[in-house]
Amino acid sequence: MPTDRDSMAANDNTRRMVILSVWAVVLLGLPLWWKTTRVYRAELPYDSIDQWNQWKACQPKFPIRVNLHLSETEQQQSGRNPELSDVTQGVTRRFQELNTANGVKESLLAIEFIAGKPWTGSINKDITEHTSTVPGTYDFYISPSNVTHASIRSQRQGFIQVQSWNTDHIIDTIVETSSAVFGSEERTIRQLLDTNEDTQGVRKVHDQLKTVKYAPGYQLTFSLFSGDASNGVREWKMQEVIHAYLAPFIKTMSTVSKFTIESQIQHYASLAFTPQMDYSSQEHYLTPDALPNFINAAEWSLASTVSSLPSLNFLTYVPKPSESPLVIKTGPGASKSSTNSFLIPRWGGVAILNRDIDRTKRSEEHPEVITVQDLEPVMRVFLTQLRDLMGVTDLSTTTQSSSSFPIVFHKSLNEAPTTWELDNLLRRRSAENLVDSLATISSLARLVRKTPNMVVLDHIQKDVTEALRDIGRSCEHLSRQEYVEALAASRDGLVKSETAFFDPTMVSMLYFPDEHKYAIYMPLFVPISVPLLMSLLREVKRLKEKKKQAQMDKDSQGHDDHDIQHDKQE
Amino acid sequence: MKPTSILRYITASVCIATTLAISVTTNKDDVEGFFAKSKSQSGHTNNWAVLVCTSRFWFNYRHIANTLSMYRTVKRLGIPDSNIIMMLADDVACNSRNIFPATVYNNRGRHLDLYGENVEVDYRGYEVTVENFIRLLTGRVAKETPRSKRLMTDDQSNILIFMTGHGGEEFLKFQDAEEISAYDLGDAFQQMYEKKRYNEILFMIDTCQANTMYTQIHSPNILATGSSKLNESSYSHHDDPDIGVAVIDRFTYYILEVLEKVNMQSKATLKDLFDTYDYNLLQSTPGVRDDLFDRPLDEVLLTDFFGNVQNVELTESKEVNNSLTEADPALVDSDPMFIEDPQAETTSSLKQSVPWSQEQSHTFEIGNPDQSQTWRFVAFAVLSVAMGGALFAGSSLV
Amino acid sequence: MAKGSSSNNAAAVFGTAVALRLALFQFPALASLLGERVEISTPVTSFKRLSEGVFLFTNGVPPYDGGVVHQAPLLLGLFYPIISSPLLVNLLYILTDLAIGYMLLRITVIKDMDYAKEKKITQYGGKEEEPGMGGLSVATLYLFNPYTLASCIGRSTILYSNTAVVAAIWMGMKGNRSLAMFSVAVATYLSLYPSMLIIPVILMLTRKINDNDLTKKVTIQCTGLFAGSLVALFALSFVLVNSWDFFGSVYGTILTVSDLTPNLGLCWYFFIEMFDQFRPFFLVVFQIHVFIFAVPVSIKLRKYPLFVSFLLCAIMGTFKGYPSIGDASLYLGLLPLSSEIFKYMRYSFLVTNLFMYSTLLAPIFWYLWVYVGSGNANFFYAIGLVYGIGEIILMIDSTFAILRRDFEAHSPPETTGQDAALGWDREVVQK
Repeated sequence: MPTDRDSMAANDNTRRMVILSVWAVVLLGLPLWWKTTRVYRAELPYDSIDQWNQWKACQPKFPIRVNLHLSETEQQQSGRNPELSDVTQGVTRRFQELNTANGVKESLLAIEFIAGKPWTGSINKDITEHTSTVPGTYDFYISPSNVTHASIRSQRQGFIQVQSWNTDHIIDTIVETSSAVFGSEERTIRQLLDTNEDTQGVRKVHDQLKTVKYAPGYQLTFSLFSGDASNGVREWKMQEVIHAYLAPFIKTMSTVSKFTIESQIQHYASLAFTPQMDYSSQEHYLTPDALPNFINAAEWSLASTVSSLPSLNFLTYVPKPSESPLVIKTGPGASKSSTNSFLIPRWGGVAILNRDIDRTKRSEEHPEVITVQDLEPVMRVFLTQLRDLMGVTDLSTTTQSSSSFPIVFHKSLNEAPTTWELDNLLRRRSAENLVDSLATISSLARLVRKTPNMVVLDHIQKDVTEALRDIGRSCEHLSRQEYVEALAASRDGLVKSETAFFDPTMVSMLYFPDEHKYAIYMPLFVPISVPLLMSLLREVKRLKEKKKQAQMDKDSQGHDDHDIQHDKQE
Repeated sequence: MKPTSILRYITASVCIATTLAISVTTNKDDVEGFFAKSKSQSGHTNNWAVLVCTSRFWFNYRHIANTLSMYRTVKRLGIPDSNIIMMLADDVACNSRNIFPATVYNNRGRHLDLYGENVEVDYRGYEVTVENFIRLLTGRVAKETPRSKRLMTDDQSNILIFMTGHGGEEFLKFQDAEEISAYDLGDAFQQMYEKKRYNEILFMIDTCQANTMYTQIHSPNILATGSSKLNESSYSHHDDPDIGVAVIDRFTYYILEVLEKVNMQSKATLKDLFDTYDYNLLQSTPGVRDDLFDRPLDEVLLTDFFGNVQNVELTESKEVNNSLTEADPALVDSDPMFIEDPQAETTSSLKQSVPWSQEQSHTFEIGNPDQSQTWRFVAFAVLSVAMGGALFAGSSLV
Repeated sequence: MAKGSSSNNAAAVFGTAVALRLALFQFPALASLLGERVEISTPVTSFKRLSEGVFLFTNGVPPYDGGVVHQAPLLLGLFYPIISSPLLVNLLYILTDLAIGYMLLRITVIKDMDYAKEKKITQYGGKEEEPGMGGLSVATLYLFNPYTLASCIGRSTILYSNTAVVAAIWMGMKGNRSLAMFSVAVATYLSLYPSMLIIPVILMLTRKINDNDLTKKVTIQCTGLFAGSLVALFALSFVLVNSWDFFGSVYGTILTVSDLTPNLGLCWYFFIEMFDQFRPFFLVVFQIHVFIFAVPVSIKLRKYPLFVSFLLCAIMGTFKGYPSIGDASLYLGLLPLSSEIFKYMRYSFLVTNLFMYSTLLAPIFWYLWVYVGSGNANFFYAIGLVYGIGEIILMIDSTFAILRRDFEAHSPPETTGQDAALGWDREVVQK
């Protein structure tokens, strides 16, 4: 009898221990399980994102300094000396008036006119060498002449000649020149930065349709497509051509974006259709209608699979002899396109190069080589197209004909952007990047807010915070007129915000309602928890019974001494 | 004074204006021809196509044929391979049951081998998953993903998304293993919209209860069409007794019938396509959802989605542009400033070196293999022996 | 004469085992074929990966940087001097396998001595229970188990972990605390999961002690020895590879099941199919699941530490992230140590068939899935499931058998008459 009871007690103990140990592990596991089922969400800086969206955190400013230099020889000669300080103040006041008239509180391009040193009135070495190297700082040299006229030179210098040498007229001319140079830019940037929902549609109108999106680097692909081997084209001197024509452009643009250049030749690249024939001029021609289908996408290999940079294609097409010469015109007898080339927005440019058969014949040794000279007109076209694609604003075209006197813009070597254009591009691209990265961050924030079961990892938070910091940095640089640094910072911000938005971990947000979650957890937990709970309940029940038994034993204490002794032993 | 500038300005504004259907007062006829080319009304500059077959296995031959037929059509209409993302869940061409190996036909007559010589499948076999599809659309791909597996669209891209497979109410099966829900699709499109990854989307789906798949889309500028309504199956068109399975679905078949007549210059519109939908032919009720789409369907060209018709802009002659400098000879004469800037212009320096390609070389340093490792090993061996000795000594003591 | 014949027999068994293995190693194609099989080589035991690691180590490249090598550094140290000679490598494998066989033999001898002192169970007809298998039979069962052979020829490094486990049991039975604990530490160091064997081994070490305080003291001492050995092994590893990267690469891989190369287990399929956001949760569930049995089983069966170690090894071999047939060869080798329970087992036939079924079909379905493409992952996974079910039935059946035997020992049934005939069928009911 006692042994039986002993073994029973031992059995009870064992069982209790077993149940306890299992429960212990389960209870130990619970916090771990709780932690792992939680959707991890790093907190995004929503407040500062909202602030940025209204430009409350920092209103981007684009300060511009213009040093005014009056011709001192004229000052001495004639008694009427326009005071430089009068001119400066006058110009500033006039700009304020213009702003109020346009309903603009504060000009984004905060142009500050500063009295500069007087000058002799003739262009000498001294002046041409004394050029501003700071983007955003310009010199206007003003001198009298018999006709009012402005000439914007490539080196951040403007030469203004005024007909009548009095303060008012000088002020007028300066104001007009400045608006011509900076007016359209001001408008573009204002539209870019506009956060007002109603006017955002307008922004798209003025978005340059053909300009490619900003990227820190681009790949330029120059392709020579030869229609037929019989046109005798074997190779082209692309390497030399790039050095000769493209180098200045690339070099100037390197503060904005970097370029990777590659070239290819493809023979037997036929057109997908046959050009029409104009018998009167013995020309084959393409109508503008046919041009969108010019690229034979199915057969011409134009896409590069190597780099993931945005690519721009420049295609030189040499038609086969049976289709030469090939020109672009609306119909037979119509005038043909002078450049024989066209641009495909955001994609690149195409130029048709007709090989002059006579010339090839007389070309001494290598008729099959397209020389640097042959490619010159093509490259000129490509450079113009590249400027358009890169968003380099041609100031002479944006300047409206509203000015009352001619304004001449000088160009620089091989279509490279002038300092004016480069500064313009720096400011505009910075503004664009600011807007783009903010838009990316706020759509990310919206997305995260909208999908509560989306995991947001720490590095997303880090990227967003850093992107915001870069944006702030860029904004500060802008207000300090450090445009190159501002663009670099805005580029960092853009890259980081896109990294965060396109992070591969941000996809774990497939449609997943809560009942699906139960469907996942239930099959696991029900089979486990039922025996666990049952055993626990049974154990509790047993303990209760035992207590009852003990109570009964106590009640029957007096009757059975043997039992009491036994209890004591236990 | 500068006629070309004016002309160009007007051209630009006309392009923009017409694209956005904003009325402008400028007389368009003045600039028709050379310098005003605005063929597309949709404001897109590039076209992309995402063609997805989600079914595996031989008996789903027709789904692969559907997708390949669509691929052939968009390619014929000018979308380059680089802009077509094709996902095929299986490779029936090389299936051992295919008695015409390496071919796929969509017609009993077997006139046209869809597999042909120049087919680029970007995602194949088990790569065709819901996750990959969503990643493709939203652009959230792994960093090492090649260009051919990315949808590199922008705010001026028109995208054709064609899906076929087996579906049900608000879902489409992928690979017989998982499914994409209409909510996932709607979310993905919304994210594309948020990040301005498209201009317009045409979403086509050929599956059972297809119309339920586009019910959860809520982003603007998306046009959707499907083969059958809720609780309705989509049917195959005909089978090929030699191949032994159905070779094409009805919906795709009749769409292709229309598209075959379309060429790159075609002015056929989406309305023309949707008007051909006929219950008697399809034996299911096709649906069109255009409430998110701004433009009237009879102005939307088929080539806006199925082709690659872009706006082009003729480049003007440089000489005309430069003539500005000589515009006023009097000025030039009288003005001392028109001497050439000494630093800039005219001289083309042929031998200018350009610093754009600076290759960075990576060197992988490998330590001296013999000495350091041997030394390390000797130390390790000595220590092990010492430890083993200590253990045995200790154990014998205990 | 009896002794002479048994040693002759032993010589014959071990000699045949060596000869067989040597003969099989003569076909390098076979070795490399088996070495590539997912059932034999898992990411954490593959000899190919180990060779890669040794190569990287030899060339001064940190072996744990690339995500290829998941084996413990000491294995690199072990193979570093001999890897260039296939003969030496093969001999090492053969000798290690033989060592396991020999240790199993020794364990049986110790167990038989224990058994002799035990109260005998009376069986039907008043007979005493017959002793279980002899040591040589146990060793033979291990050495000629096809799983063992395949694992050895496939040069899976699970062999070394198995050796450490068996050595720990041997030393535990022998009563050598430091070596037993050191062996458990080595096993833990090599493949982590055997850490739970510390409980049965301590049970073995304390099985003859009746004093509670002394038991506690020994337990604490043993735990200390275990921890000390483990630290020493880690330190030694650091000396060898000069970085702590191996922690993440070896134990991180085991715990997070980050390499999802298919194997006979169930985790890879789950984690492939699962949405990423559930992964951490199920990872914790699965890993805790492996360990949750250690304590209850040890408490319940504390009188049978050998069986507990068998059961824990079987649990590891079934539920760990990267199981292989090497694990099966271990617990199938340990099972005959409790051979007295065989007569109580009811599903031996089913289990045998399930094992054979999965062994035959696994390569076929793999081929259909990976090479022919007419199957898919589910095919192979289904075989893994069948294999797992076989393992689980084996565990349940053997546990039932030992409990039944335990019950028989405590409440002897009627051994004669009509009740006796019924007695063998009566259910084991917990009182």
